[in-house]
Amino acid sequence: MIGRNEIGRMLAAALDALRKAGADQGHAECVCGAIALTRFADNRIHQNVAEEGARVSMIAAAGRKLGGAATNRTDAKGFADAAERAVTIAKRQADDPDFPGFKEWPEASELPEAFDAETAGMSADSRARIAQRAAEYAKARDVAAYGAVKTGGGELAVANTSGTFQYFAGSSIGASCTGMIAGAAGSEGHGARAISIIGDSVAKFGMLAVDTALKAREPKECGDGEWPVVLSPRAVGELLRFLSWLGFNARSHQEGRSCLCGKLGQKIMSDLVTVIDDGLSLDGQPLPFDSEGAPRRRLTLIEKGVPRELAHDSRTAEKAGIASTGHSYGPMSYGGASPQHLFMLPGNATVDEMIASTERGLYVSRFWYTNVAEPAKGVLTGMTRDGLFLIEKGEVRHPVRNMRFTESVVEALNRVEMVGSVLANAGDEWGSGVTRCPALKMSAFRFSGATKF
Amino acid sequence: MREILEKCLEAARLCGAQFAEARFVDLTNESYEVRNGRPAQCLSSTSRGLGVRVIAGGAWGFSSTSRVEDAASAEKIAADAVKIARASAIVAGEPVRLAPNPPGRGAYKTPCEEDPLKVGVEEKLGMLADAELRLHSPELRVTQAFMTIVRKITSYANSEGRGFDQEITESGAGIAATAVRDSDFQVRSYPNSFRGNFATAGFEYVRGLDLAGNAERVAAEARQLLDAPVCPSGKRDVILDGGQLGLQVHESIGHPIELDRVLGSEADFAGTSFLTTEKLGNFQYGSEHVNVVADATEPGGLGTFGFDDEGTPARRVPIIEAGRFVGYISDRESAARLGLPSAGAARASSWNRIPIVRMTNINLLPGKWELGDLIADTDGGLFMATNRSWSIDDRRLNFQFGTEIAWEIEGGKLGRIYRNPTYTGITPEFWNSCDAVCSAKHWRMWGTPNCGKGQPGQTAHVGHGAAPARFRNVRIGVVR
Repeated sequence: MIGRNEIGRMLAAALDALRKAGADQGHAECVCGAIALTRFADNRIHQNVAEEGARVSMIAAAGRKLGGAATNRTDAKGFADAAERAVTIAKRQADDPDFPGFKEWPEASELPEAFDAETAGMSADSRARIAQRAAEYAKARDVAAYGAVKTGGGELAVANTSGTFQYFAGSSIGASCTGMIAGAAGSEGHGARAISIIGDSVAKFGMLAVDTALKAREPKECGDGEWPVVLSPRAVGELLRFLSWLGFNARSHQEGRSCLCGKLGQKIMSDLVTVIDDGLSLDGQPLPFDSEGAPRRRLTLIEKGVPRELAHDSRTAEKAGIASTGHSYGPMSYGGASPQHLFMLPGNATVDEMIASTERGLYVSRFWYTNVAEPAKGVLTGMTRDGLFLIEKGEVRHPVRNMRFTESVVEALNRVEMVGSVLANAGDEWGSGVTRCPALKMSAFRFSGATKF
Repeated sequence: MREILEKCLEAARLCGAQFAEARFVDLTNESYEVRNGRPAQCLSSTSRGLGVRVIAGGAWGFSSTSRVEDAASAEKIAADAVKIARASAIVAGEPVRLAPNPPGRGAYKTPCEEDPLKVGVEEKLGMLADAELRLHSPELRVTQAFMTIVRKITSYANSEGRGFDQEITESGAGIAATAVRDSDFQVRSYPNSFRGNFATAGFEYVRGLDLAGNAERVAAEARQLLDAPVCPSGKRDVILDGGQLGLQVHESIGHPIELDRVLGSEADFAGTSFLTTEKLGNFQYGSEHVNVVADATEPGGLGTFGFDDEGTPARRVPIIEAGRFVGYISDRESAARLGLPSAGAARASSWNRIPIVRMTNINLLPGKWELGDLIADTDGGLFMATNRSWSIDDRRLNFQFGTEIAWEIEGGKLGRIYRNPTYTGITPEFWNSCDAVCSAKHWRMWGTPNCGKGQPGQTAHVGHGAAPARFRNVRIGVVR
């Protein structure tokens, strides 16, 4: 931990370097911390890494011209070099008439509970012991376990020459495991800001993955087409992240590129669907301000099937005549803003009740390598993996070979019939964003291709 | 820096490491964008640091720091790496073995006619502004021009006496136009989607792209797509342009041939591979027209270098010969598991990441067809160009791609265009349906600067040589 005061001094030095290099205004952001990650494959640790570092990004404004530079050298020479590069770019730029200036933002919430020293400082031995539990449980059942345990702590601070200074410290732990046997697989993943929150889950994540793999053996082929589905929270999270990116970026709306253009305020999804974005919630991985330094505001993205609010940065907010919602990727980000802390409100059903109410359908454990097939309609494509099961007459009958889906996420969310009562973390495999959501039952979901594996 | 590297190795040895390597990396990245007539995202970034990887107790450990000035920091991360390796040994399997890599020192530098970091900001932005201005036309709501310059300097030493100094320079640029009408929008790009094309080369590469000269065509095609019919559904013969084929190679050949993935190293994250080890030398991956190499020596590719990040000299490795699968890409550890030499494909994205098996330049070798003759030889087909979307399962078998545009081929001639083209298939079936590859005249290197793999995440810069090729009876029009 560098600490609030020392990071404050660092950013003050960076802003001073920008002024000395000739900037009229300056903005500086520091991201620093240490992360460690232990990976295991085939029941042994095969990669085990740690890193520490700090990175300062600086933006110089010369009138309405902007230039940026970043460095991980946080001494006077490092700042002077970066400031010189930022100012050189700025002075050779064209004017940016939309530059709203670096603003003085209100102080964001401090959220001291977000940093847990035990989690941030977890030793390599402790991570190895977590991996060991998963590996030993798997080995005893002739299953091969693959996974990772990641811990870390970091600090983020933003300052500008208009007087803004925001500081945040947070910790995180994540653990995932895939069990594999005879070509079948099951997987589980858990994450939180502190080990104390998911202690029990960490102990069990390997067991759940291995048990699913054992159930997924000898899958049978199943035809493609439209199927009623029960989606695990992890599968739901995958769909919601894409929807947040395709639908709720104010820039995309202003440029006519959002799949929800012209649909705000209209009921286009099931009234069981309510999704919020909350960067302040301690149930997720909070981050109380954005890269401009603007405090994050809680957004109601979808209220009972009606899309409501968009994520704004300063530029899009100014154009819309409102205040930024605190979702910017930085003063030089022109791609807009998107919600990063998604929470779908729970319903009152259990997964068992969803299955019991299904005459014939599929249970999806996980979607994989999802991508946008047709952005204007919110159509996604991706594969199932790690456990796809046939449901018949209210019971899980047998595992099914993986299938490809090609489906509009907006239309799919209009077919939600039941919402789970339990929320689970459902972060994606590439580490972007935080999502907590329930399991869902949908009356139909389009699978475009069956496979033989 | 060499002295610091040696201190790391000595510190690791004193802590009990059986093997140690130290790598210093100094990265510079310039990124420029002009968007809708205005400057956007003009950034110059630097990052430098030191990473130490060791084997102790038969297991791996790695630690890294951005504090490279003092020897004490260097020695501390070496000691940390050994401590982490001993923790790895708590859940150990067979002790790590490495394929041999004889001692020796070397140096490599990207051939570079015009140093891109010395070209002035005004000239770079001026070039982009000129090209972007030519995209402006009605219904084009977003017009963009991009430029990216990268320099990666690496110094490496290991405890076996291997070392190298390397300087890689990359240059790239592109333009994109987004046409919007009602509830639809369509994108056209040049020379490739997602910020253009990239090469290990100097600024001469950017000048040679002629962004401005292609802008009017790109803008016109984006507008025309708004009026085009949606790609039909069914099965057709398909010709893929080089850019799309480069990504097809990437996803359905480049990733499956990664030996660490085959052996399970990525099973919980990036996935595994259908290309299990018994298939080596015994599997018909594609038709006789399909010949693929992994070639880190190919000039200009984003996977071109002198040494990989374990110090193995750059190699050209046969992967598919006349359709038969003959080789993996590997690092020293995965190669040793099969009793093979390393394929020289251990690459780390920066100082704070370990080397893992990554693509170099995975090239589909040219065939003999002239593109015009190939189109003339096709009836009832589609010519599909420029990637828009991609997805493939975790074993790399079931893929689905979208392209920005497709032309109907009727009676051997290009006809009307279609919007939202997509195609899908199963990897070996698809490559076995290839019956023609265009000649060296149409072959070029395509750079992929955004290949994700590993935990913590690493983004690799890799290359794909490809010329347009034809595939028979492919399922198209998946999105209706």
